[in-house]
Amino acid sequence: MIRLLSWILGRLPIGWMQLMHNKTRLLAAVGGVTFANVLIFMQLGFLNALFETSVFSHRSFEADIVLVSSDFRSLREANPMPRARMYQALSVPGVRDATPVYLGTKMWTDRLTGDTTNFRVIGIDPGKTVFADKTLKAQSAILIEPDSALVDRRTRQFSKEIETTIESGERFEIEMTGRKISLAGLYSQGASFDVDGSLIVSEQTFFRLFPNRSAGTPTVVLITLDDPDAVKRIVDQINMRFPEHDAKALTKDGFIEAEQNYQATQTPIGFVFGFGVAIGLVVGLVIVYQVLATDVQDHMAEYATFKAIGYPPKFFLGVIFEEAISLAALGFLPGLCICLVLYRLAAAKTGLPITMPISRPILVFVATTVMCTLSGAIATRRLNAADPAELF
Amino acid sequence: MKNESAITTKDLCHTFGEGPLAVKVLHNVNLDIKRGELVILMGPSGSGKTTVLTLVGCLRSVQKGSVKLLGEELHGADDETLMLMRRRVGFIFQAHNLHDSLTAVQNVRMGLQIHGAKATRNWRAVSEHVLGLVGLSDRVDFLPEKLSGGQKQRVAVARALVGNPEIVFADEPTAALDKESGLSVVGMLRRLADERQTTVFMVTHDHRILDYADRIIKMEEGRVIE
Repeated sequence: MIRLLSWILGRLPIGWMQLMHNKTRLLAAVGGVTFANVLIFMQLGFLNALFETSVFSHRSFEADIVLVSSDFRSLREANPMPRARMYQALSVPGVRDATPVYLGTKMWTDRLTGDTTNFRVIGIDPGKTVFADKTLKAQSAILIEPDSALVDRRTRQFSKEIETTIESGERFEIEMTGRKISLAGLYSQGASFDVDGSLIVSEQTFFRLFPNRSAGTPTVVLITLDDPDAVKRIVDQINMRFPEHDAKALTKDGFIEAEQNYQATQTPIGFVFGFGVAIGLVVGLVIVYQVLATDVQDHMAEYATFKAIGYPPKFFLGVIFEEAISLAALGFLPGLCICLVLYRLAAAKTGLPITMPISRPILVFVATTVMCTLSGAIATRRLNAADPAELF
Repeated sequence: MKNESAITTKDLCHTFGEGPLAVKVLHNVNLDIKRGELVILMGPSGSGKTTVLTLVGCLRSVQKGSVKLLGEELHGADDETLMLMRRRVGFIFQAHNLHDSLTAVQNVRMGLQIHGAKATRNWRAVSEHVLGLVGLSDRVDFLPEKLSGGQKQRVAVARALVGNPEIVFADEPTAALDKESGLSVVGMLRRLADERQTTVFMVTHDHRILDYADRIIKMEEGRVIE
């Protein structure tokens, strides 16, 4: 290692050797960097899960264009829109089909366990293609039967009993706002921060569960096109037909982006996790600074001697940055390994998709390196105290 | 060569502090040290001898008067010039100041590395040779903590000499050494002066080594008295 670093630096890797010489200090510093890394990784994991899960429903729709109320910010609190806009959109050349989708949330309390589940209820026309997922397409015919529903098997803390009953071909009856709903099929979507899972029903069943909603005011309208490549142009054409500005057309990507943007900027959740990342960086910064500053302090006489010999200021900066980057690298690997384990634990516990994309370790490593370098830069201010004239 | 000046000072004055607290520590010091000379500077503590050493050693900026080191005027020289001048000289401090994470031979290398990649190419052979000169051939790969005080000081001497300095400045080099090692260090400096025309400028209180000097300069209260 020393030989490799000597070759890269063209000098003795004094920073590295200094770190290796004092094992206790090295351990403290590496521990600090690891801790900061774990903190950052976990926050990013949750933040990303928030972004991913908030658009599960959005992604599941088979659509090129989505019509929403003009004040749309998030599906969670989306206002209904006039269905008349759907017919206007259908008159635009290139639009193949359109179907309204009704959304609402309903609590269900399991009488046996007392557990309450918050479902996003999705009301669809069983005769239309609403979802891209094949298992959903195959099962939508069941929904024609009144008061039947498909249930998300990845609902948070989903009852094993329901799952096995449905898998064996039988139905599972639940009671929701005084109505009996029979769960007849399963699909896989996942929990998010605001709902525990989802439930798909027919329009008719939806209006029975939500008596104050009517067929004339869907939450969103899904539009498919003959030529999906023309989506930009057709979105503009549809929007031109809505002079009242009570509804707007978005591309599917725009629809997903709008939701994520809302989650990132309008909800406290995005801020909370962003803040967590910042705290992680600050903690790491302080620990690494402490270690580097003490190290500089301890080697003041040696540095002064090197100054007397004729080493320029940039030599000392180099030594400190060498230490800072070594610490970033040494602390990063254990941090990454710990987080891979913690991600699994957290994912199992919360039902959230907490995963590690390749880009994240790179991002965190860069952030760690910047953090350590910054600590080093602050620590170098102490170097000015190394005055060779004081040595005599 | 012998009569060429290595260090000359003319009316060198120095003041510490400012305003009413200012203390003038040097008064018109005039020195002329030739190449290849071994000169000892003596005087009671507070006489200003260390200040003279730091001024001619490019460790402090010259305030008033003139210092010529190897033909270069130091009065008014910027930090960069002082740094470059320091690379042409060697320092031996009272404390060894070895880097505790580096082995003896690596510490010596630090004295060589400053002269660039070309000088560093055969660093191991060169450094080992100089360590051999100070009698540490069998300690090259020892960390300072495994060396005795005398051995550490000899490593520091090797570090100062490895770059073939034109002048060696030494501040009480024998203070931390027993008689035998002290004499061997000074004996080595004497040989350098004779064989390589290296100038040695030494501050010391140690009367055991006065015999090695070509000349002894005495200072008192900021003035050269003898």
